[in-house]
Amino acid sequence: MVEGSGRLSGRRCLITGGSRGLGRALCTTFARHGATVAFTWRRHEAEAEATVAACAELGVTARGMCVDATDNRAVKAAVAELERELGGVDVLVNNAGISQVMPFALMGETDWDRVMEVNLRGAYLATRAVLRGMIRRKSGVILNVGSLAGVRWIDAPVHYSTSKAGLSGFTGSLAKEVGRHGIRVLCVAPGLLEGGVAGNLPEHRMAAYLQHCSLGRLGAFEEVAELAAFMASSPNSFMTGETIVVDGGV
Amino acid sequence: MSQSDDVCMIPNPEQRFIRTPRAEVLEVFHSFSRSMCPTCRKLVDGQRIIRDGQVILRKQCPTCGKSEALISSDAEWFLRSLTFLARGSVPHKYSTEVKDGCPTDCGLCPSHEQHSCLPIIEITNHCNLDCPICIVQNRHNYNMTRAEFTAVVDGLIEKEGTLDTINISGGEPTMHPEFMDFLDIAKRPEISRVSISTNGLKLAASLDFCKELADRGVYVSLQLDALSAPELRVLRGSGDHRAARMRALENLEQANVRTTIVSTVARGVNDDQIGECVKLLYENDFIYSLMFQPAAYTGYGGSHFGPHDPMNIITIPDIVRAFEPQTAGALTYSDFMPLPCSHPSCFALTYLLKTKEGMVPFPRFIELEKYLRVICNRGTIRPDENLEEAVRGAIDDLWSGKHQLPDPDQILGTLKHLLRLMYPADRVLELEDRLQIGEGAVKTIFIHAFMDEHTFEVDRIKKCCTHYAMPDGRLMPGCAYNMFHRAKDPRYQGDVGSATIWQKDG
Repeated sequence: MVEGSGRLSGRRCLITGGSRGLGRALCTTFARHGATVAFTWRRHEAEAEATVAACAELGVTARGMCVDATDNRAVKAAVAELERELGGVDVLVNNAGISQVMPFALMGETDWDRVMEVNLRGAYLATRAVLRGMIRRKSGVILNVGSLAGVRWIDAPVHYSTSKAGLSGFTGSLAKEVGRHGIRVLCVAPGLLEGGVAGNLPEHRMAAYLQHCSLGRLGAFEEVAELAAFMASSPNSFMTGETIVVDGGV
Repeated sequence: MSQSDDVCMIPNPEQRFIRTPRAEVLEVFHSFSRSMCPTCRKLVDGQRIIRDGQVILRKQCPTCGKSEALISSDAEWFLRSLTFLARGSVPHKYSTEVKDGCPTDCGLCPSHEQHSCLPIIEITNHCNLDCPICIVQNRHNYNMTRAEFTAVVDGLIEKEGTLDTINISGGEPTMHPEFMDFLDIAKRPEISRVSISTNGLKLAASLDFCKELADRGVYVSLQLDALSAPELRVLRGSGDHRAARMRALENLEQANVRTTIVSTVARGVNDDQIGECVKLLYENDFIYSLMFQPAAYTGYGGSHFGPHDPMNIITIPDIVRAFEPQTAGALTYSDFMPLPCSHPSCFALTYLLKTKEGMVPFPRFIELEKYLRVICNRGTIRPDENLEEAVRGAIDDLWSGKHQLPDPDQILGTLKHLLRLMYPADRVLELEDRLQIGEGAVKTIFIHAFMDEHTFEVDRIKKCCTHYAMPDGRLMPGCAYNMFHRAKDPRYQGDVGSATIWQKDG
């Protein structure tokens, strides 16, 4: 386990989709680095409680909030509550996302819309909700969780890749627009992670991926979360608009 | 199992064979064969002859003279099937050396061209039936020991690495006093499925027994040749077999045991019941597959089931042709193909996709080349790159309208539904869970032709993938074992034991 550096001390961080997987690792890693952690969850209450418990073990009282990432009113209310109680949100991590194993020929309009709704519109809504406060305070970090599938042309569901590529565009454009307020916007793009969507890959696809991966293994949630913590921290103050790939060298 | 890179040599379905204009009435020499004299049982040379649209195996024994046997009732099917060639995959380890040649060296020797797709472990030669059509002669004097069974399972894993299925057979395996214990021993991570071959009497008598099988995830291959009593009596002997088998089916359904119906088909006895068996498959979710076995006249079948005319037997194309009239067109001749990884004269099959509107045979919507790659070198469909390529190709073809099917949307809808079940948005399923979901959506019809003394050919044995697994580590190709090795098996020597035959006087 990596010791906390305190580089996020005093930072009020909101992580969407924090109940499990990479989301939970982001919560605990940010907590270990001294952040005040709030996260949203949607369906998995028991797992959200486990995230709270994991943060508590680190001495941090994390706040889990049941919020549908696609419900604008609920997102705004959650952010307003945090601003009231914490005084604002310094770091937003747009992590909530979904995927779906579906070839393009079978990808119906509702499948497409649902992925775009959660992965892209969800990020847009949360960002809108926190950005006004950040502009007022003339500081803040928006960190989007993209994917290798949105950066390189790999065999992944088209709607998922599109949404993640969209997040890269969102990152660059928004960084340009809000940089004048001292707000940084970044995107971290992980490759396949242990316990993530990699579990849905057939053996032969996994073998092909590992063959092309310089480190020859899957990543761990914590490895991505550590990078995310650094990207969101003050020592990384000159980086914005970038999508950083963390994939073991594919 | 080690896979070769170049798995399939793809047949050209358009290929036409050149035959003389009068081939239908004249004999046409096709090829030489190494076969067996049905009288003295010695290996002899033979010829395959095409005559009257059929393929005949003609043998000339220096001692006993000429004999002939039908090996395919459809020369066109036979000739086309020979283009279905696939390189086999070999086991990790052989148990015998090449010394005296095939089939004497069996066990497997390095000249064998296929691994064990379906190893059979005979745990007993006790049986409570004496079926006239049985291909062995049970001596009722052997129960496999626990140590032997463990050695067999260990040996299989050593030679194959992982196994899709192992089959526990007999005699009647449920009569073995340690039957359930053996099922537990067979539950190994390297073995995906354990099936048992049974006459169903024990299953009919006890729902609890079926539940125990279900608890262990066992697949049951139930012998059920026909759905009417007179035919069953001819094939299986005295007693109300129909009532017993129906009760067994009820119990299997109630216990939710995944079931295969195995039907031995004899000319003029039950060859009009093929459609009834298909109906059973179509109408029952717990029945996953059908296995038709053209009767082979060896063992008791060779001596008790007669009079036997080797020129008037059921062959694979007879069963394939029977589907269309007996299923009102639900299945057709072109839905079936020889299995390319075994000898094409040994197996034919089709896979069926279960849609809301009914069953759709895979060959109607998956390209032949890709379909053959999917069914190559294994007993069950696995999610490998061949399957992925085949299904992706089929989806694109159906969506783009390449296949002229009446309702492609029902297939596409089924495939999409399956993907959603196998890959739910909120969690990752284990591979075995996904396989079981896929298994529930696909049914299979196999046709497996065993050989007897009349039809035996060495080249078929060389590609056999149905092997008896022996306690000494050997894997014996099924038909070679039955005809050349079973009688010498030291396990079965000694006096014939006593047997209580079910409803013998009924």
